Amino acid sequence: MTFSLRSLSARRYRIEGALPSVNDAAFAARLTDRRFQPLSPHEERTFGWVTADNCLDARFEAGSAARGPCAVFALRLDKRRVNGRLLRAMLDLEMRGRKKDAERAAEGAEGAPKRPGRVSREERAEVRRQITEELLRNTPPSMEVHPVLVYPRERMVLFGALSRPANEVFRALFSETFDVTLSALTPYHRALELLGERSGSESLAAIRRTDFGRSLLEAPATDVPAAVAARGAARPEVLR
Amino acid sequence: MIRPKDRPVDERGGMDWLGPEFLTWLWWRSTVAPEFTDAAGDAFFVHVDEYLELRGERAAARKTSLRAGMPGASAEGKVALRHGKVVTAARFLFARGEEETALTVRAEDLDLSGVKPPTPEGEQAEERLAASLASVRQAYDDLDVCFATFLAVRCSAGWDAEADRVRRFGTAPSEEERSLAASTGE
Repeated sequence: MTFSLRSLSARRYRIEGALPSVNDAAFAARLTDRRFQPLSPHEERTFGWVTADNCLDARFEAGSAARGPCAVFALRLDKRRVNGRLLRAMLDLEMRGRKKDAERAAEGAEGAPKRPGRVSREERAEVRRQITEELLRNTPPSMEVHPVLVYPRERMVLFGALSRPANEVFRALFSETFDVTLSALTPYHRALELLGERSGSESLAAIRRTDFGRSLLEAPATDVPAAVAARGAARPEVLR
Repeated sequence: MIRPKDRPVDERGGMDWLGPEFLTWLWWRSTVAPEFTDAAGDAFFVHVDEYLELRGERAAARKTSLRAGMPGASAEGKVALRHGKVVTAARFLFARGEEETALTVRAEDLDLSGVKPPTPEGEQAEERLAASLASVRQAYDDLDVCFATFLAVRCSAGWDAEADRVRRFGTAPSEEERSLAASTGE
C-alpha cells in the first residue's frame, strides 16, 4: 500500500523556524516522539503522526518520509464519543431500578424516610460516570487520517484537511513536534509576503473594499486589463 | 481590546474581502485575458471551470452557486456581480501546454480543494507520486502568479479603472445571453 495523490484539499502554511532535513534521522526521531498511539479504554481522543502509506504504521526511519520534492506523512485522529441519548436512557433505567430497590427496602424497615427511594446527587453522578466508562469501552473509535506534505525548500507545508478542529490539532502538534511556528497563508499573509513585509503593510493599509455592484458613472476607455496593457504585448486572440 | 490568550490574532488582517476581490478579479481576467506569465517567462492559461460561488456581504441566503456547464459565462453570475456579490469560491483550470490542473479556490483563506494534478508519467509509483507532488506545488506557484498580478494593480493608482472594467464586464451581456440573442436573430 503506497500513498498516491489523485486529489487533494489542503490549507497552506508557512514554516517559521528551522526544520531538520527531511532525510535526517532527527526528522524521523521528532515524528516518532509524537507518533500516533491508540486510544486507551478510557480516552475519548488521541492523535499523532502515522506514515502516509499506512495509517496503522507509526514507525519512522531516517529518510522514510521523503518523497520527491517533499516529506509526506499523515495526521491520525481517533475519537470516541459516548452517545448522549443512550447514556441518558441507561442512566434512567439504572435510577429507576435503584429507586425501586430502595422503596422495597424502606417498606420493611421501621421509621421509614419521608421520601423513600430518593437518590442523592453524588450517587447519580457516580452511576453516570460508571455508565460513561462502560459505554466508552464498548464504543469503537472513529478515525480521521489527513496527509501532510512538507516542502522544505519553500518552507511550506500543506495540510490535507480544511476543517477548523483538524487544522487546530495539526498546527499545535506540528509546532510541538518540530519546535517551529506555522502561519496560515491567508490572502493577507500571502499579500504581505509577495509585496514585501514593510511596503506590503503600507500598501495594504491604504486600500479599501471595492463595491463591484456600484453603477458605472463613467465607462473606461478600454477593457484591456492594466497588467496586459502595461506589457504592451497583448495578443488579440486571447482578448475577447 | 484585549485578545483572549488561546485565540490566534486575526490571520486575515481584518481584510476578509481581499480573497473574494481577488477571485472576482480572476474570473473577469480569465474571461478577457486568460494568459499569465510566470517568473521564468513561461505562459499558462486560467479558465473558470464548473463551479462558481458568489456571496453578498451578509448571510448565506444571499449565496449564488453555479455548477456545471460554463458558470463563468452564465447570465446568473453576472447578475449576482451586478447586485454587489463577490466570488467566494471558484473552480479553475490552470493549463500549461498539454497539462491541466483543476482546482477549487476558496476565497477566505485561499484554501484549495479538489486539486486534480495531471496524470503523472513514470513506471514506478514513487516517480508518479513525485510528479504529482511537483504538480501540486506548481499549482500553488501559478495561483501566486495570479495573486501577485492582482496585487500589483490592486495596490496601484490603476485600480479604480481596473475595477470599472470588472463592473463593465458585469453589466455587459454574458456569452450565454449573446449566443441566445444570436440564435433568436435579435
